[in-house]
Amino acid sequence: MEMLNVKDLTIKFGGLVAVDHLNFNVKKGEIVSLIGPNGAGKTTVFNLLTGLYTPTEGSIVFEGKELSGMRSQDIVKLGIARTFQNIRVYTKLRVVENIMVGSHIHTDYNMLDAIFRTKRFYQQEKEKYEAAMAFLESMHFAEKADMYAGSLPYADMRRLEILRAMASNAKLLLLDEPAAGMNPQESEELVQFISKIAREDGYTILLIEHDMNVVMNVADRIYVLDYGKLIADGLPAEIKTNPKVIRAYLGGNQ
Amino acid sequence: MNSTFLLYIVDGVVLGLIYALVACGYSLIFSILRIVNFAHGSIYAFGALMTLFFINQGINPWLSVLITLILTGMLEMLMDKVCIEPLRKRNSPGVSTLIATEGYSYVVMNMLIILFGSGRNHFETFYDLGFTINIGSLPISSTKLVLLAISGGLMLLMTYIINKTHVGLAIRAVQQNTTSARLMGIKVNRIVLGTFFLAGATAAVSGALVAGYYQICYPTMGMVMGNKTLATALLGGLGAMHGGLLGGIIIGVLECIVAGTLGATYRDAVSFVVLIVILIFMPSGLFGKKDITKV
Amino acid sequence: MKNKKQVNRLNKFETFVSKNKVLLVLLGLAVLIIAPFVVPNDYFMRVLCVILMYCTFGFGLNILLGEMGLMSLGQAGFVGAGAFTTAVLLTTLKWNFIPATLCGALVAAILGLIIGLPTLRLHGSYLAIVTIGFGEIMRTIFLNWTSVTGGPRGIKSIPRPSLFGLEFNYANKGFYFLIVLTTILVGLFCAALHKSKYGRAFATIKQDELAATLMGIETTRYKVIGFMLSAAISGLMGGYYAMMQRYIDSNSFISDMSVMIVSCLVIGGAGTLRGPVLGAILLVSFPEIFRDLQDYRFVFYGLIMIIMMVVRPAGLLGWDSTLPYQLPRSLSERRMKSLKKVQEKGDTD
Repeated sequence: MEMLNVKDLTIKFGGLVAVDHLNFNVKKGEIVSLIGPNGAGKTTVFNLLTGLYTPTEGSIVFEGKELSGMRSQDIVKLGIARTFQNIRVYTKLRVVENIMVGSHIHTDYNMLDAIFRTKRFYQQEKEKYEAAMAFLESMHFAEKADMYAGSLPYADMRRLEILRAMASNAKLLLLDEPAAGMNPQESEELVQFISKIAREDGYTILLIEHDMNVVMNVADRIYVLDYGKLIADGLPAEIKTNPKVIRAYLGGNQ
Repeated sequence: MNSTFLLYIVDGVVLGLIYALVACGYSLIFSILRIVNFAHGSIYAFGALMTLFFINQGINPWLSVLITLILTGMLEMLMDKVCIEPLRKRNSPGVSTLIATEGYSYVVMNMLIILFGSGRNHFETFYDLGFTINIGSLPISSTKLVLLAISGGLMLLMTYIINKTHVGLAIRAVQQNTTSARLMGIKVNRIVLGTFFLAGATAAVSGALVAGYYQICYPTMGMVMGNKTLATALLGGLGAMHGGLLGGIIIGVLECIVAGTLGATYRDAVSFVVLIVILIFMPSGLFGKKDITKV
Repeated sequence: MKNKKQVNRLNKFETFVSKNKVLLVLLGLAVLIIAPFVVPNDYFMRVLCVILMYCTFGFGLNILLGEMGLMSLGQAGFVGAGAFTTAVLLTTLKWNFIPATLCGALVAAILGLIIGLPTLRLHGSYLAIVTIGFGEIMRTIFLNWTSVTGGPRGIKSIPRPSLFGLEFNYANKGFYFLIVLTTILVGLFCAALHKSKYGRAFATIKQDELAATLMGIETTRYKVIGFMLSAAISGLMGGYYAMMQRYIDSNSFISDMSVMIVSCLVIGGAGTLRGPVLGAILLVSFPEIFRDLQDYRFVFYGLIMIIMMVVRPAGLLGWDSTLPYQLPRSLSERRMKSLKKVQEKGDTD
């Protein structure tokens, strides 16, 4: 069963067609990778999926619901959360608070509860805090719970950003270059981490990545974009040898 | 009725050009550093009062303006060195710069009060050529014409400097990308200082012109003017010179109409009402570049 | 950058404070209670009241600037709206001061909504300038709406607050304690808000609004709430300001007041509640202490603002807590915990 189904997705900025009649799908529990040279329109696809841009044409269907035209906030509530190319954790909040921000949309006491410190307030704050701590525990991150996100090492910040996205109870995670700037050992750990959350914790993952080692190791299927168009798709082994892909990456005549 | 209305428009255009001239001081600095210099109004007042001071020493008014122009230029350069550069180097948030320049404004304005007293000083119009021309039934005094000519000329000169000279090219290069400008051998710090000097110079000239036009100057004259011209710059789109001109004329004309029909006490609010209404629909002003946040 | 030694010292200090919280609160209350009995005359009493007022104005601005990073240079407009509303209700309609000040807060909050909505898409300098504009527009309204605000003549002989025939004034210290009570309540309100999902949402808006949107946070809603609360707090204290001055006109609410409010918050430390307390004490008492330097007062304000931004932009008391995250606990939970501790102690003995 397809979780996400993208049909003829197109967006134009002025005369530039950034994404051009793109079709792809993601099935539940899969790790799908979106690759392509710089400027191929990968991040634009994420921006379309998360409602930052409204598509000029085409449809995005997530679990039977049409997403195009929806606000970002409502899309998150349906269960799609993302990370960013340049890390965007809340550096001046503690790790556990970052996670609690992730569960913000499931915290539903109102202002009067907060001001008068009603039972509902205490209950929910406690619940969310304990859930956040348990979650961090299960991800081997608990010892860093009280650190400010800004003081974490680089790779941990990237990981925290993924954790924060998971904490929103997302079913589909969109990871934008999670391995960027990591050394080989760190990206190896990241591969393990991503595989684990997909295989064991049941998250579905769509990721953009430049590090081919990461992509080949982790992805079930790959879509290749160039100039906003889909030029190839298939299993990692097929993509590796696809002449079109090699040409897109290395340049050369058509 | 019709001729009063025309008069509003002529007065408004004159006023608008003055606003545009002061506003281009904001635009210059904003376009290069993406900050708003809240001290500009006070430096404008400094320009007016210092010109008066030199005139009272018996110096020729035009020469006085020239000396003052150098002083205000230096005052703006000092501000960059003292309160903006340290923050820029540390990559401080915009709020810090805002407060620091607001602080500088306070220092300048209140030093003026201490030096010259807070009262209003008479400022003889030094560019009254003593004739009036009539266009139809509409009399236009020589002061207005001179004011129109000087501020219009200065705006043109500014546009020329920015668009056609080497210095202007360097300024525009720094505007677009500071790092690559530096890599191309442009002395960025010198360009920044130069821009501050230019901004200060416009403040002095417009200060003296306006003081002469209304025949009055006082230390707090920069507060209302500063706020209004900031609104002008914003209305046109910060960083866009021609936008400032259009913004100035819109505000100037509307102010004259409102002051003439509703009463002078409403005058100072006009610019902000216009600004807020425009910003609701165009958050970057009439000609401002949209800031696209890269995701 | 903070070095390790500083962090250590800060940590010790914070641990000390959090351990002796009850004691320190009692000490603070004692100072607040004793203060009016030590000051020599009504003049100083007034200074105390003004300090507390600016403290509250600072709390109000803190919601915008400190929590959400939205600059407002038009707070005086909100203060004025509250002050005029209260003054009108007290003088012409002879209302009691409690509903009058609450109405003042409400009117200010509505203005906060009105100014908040169009400015939602604006940031940084643009927002700052629009708020300056808001302040100026408000002043124009105060000056020209003669039938309500008295125009250039202002509103005279505003009564002191009274309840059941008892007047709160300087002589019986009632006015002072009324302001103390209001300030404390506002402070508690802000603290409660900060340590809840509202505080977290505000923080996400300050740090990265786009990321907040993509975490499903209704940033627009929170910004409007922030504007309204900030305005309401300023308007509420504005009412007391009117009752303290007993005479207000459009010149009472010029941009100097807005700048002073910003300075109090920034110099003390934006983003904290201790910040505006210290800021208000320093900035209000400074000119009173150095009366001879009256002329230089604003020069010093300016210098302080510059020096602070260059040397310590976070403000005198602005620091990130080094203590671990503390979950808000209800009193009963806290009692349970301390009981448990005592029991454990008993067991080991």
